Amino acid sequence: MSQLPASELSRLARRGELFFRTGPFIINLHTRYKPVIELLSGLYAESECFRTNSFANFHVHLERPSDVRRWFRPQIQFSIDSRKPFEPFPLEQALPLFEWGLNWCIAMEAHRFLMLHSAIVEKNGRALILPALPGSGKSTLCTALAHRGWRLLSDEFGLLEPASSLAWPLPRAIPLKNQSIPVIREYLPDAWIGPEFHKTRKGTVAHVKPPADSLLRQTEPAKPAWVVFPKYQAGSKTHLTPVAKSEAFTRLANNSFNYIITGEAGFRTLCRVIDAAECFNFRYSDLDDAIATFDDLATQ
Amino acid sequence: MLIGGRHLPGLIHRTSPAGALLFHDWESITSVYDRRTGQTHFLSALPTEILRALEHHRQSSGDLAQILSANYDIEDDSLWRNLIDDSLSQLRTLDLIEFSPTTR
Repeated sequence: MSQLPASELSRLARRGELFFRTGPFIINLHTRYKPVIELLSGLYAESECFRTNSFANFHVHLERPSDVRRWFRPQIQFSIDSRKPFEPFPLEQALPLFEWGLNWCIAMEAHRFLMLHSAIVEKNGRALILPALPGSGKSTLCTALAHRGWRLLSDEFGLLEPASSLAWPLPRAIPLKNQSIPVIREYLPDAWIGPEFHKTRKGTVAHVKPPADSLLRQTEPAKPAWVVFPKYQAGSKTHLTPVAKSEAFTRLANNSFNYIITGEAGFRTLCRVIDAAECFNFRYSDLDDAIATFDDLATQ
Repeated sequence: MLIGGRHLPGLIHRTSPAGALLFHDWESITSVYDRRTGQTHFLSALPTEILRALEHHRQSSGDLAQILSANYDIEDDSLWRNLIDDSLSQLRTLDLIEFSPTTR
């Protein structure tokens, strides 16, 4: 994307001729709204981009309504293959709408993978699965790891391929929310963080750019080696404790977006992944300690 | 087998045919995937072994108690029979077995 000037990207998007890769998916984006193109070209600068393509997994339209809401308290509408799954958003929230909308598309359609609601990062070819649970601080932890020697595979979707049990990358911008934004600004002053969007349905949101390496290597899968259930607890010591595989299987099955839909393939995939992985609970409050713990795990 | 507090004769069989259940053993629990329903069950050792023993043949609860007591090297006494009956109740609640009042 960075090799094309913003004006060219805007022209392609206006004509419906902008195709770019996000992990295993090709997105065709139609939009006349330049600000969102400018933001996407920064966030996904190293992503593979095509002027034309014979195939796209998702044909996304991001357009302003043609009625009075085009000018009065302007809005923007997300549509996918002529369907409009959401109400319009305020125009200034076009980027969060695009990101959440694409998440929805993937969650609804990508059933050739067993999809976990988890972050996944990788080091030395081995993947660390961090299932998302309330209070886990997943995105903050994932952002920190991705900028400290671990490759970001995904912050939101853990894509497990049934045929191989490998984790496939889907390196999207990491949406930080509310208090996690200043935490990361302070911890990673050099991280590329986009503008803050206020009063979204999740509060204030800002997007962290995936590191260049994660975008350049987004067709390289990794073998899951660890499943770690994180829990952020202010003031706590860092504590990594083994979890029985039976418990890890149950928790991960419940954590999956589509375990039931994938049927036998999902069952077999999860069995193989848990069989091969070490499983832990993880309590933490300090990001440096957390990263050191996982770095130590990666050397064993 | 006790049903509603009464012992009833008859045979027990799995609701899913041979090959329809996939078993994966963990430390002390087995995940059982039922191809017939798409459901995943988590069972302890005894209900799991009952399902395995019913893979190809119907059995009475007495036969199951004898077979499994030999497998586990456990005395086939009233306590053992109660454990078998509890497991059969559990499996029946999960719709993994059915009771058939007919003979072989």
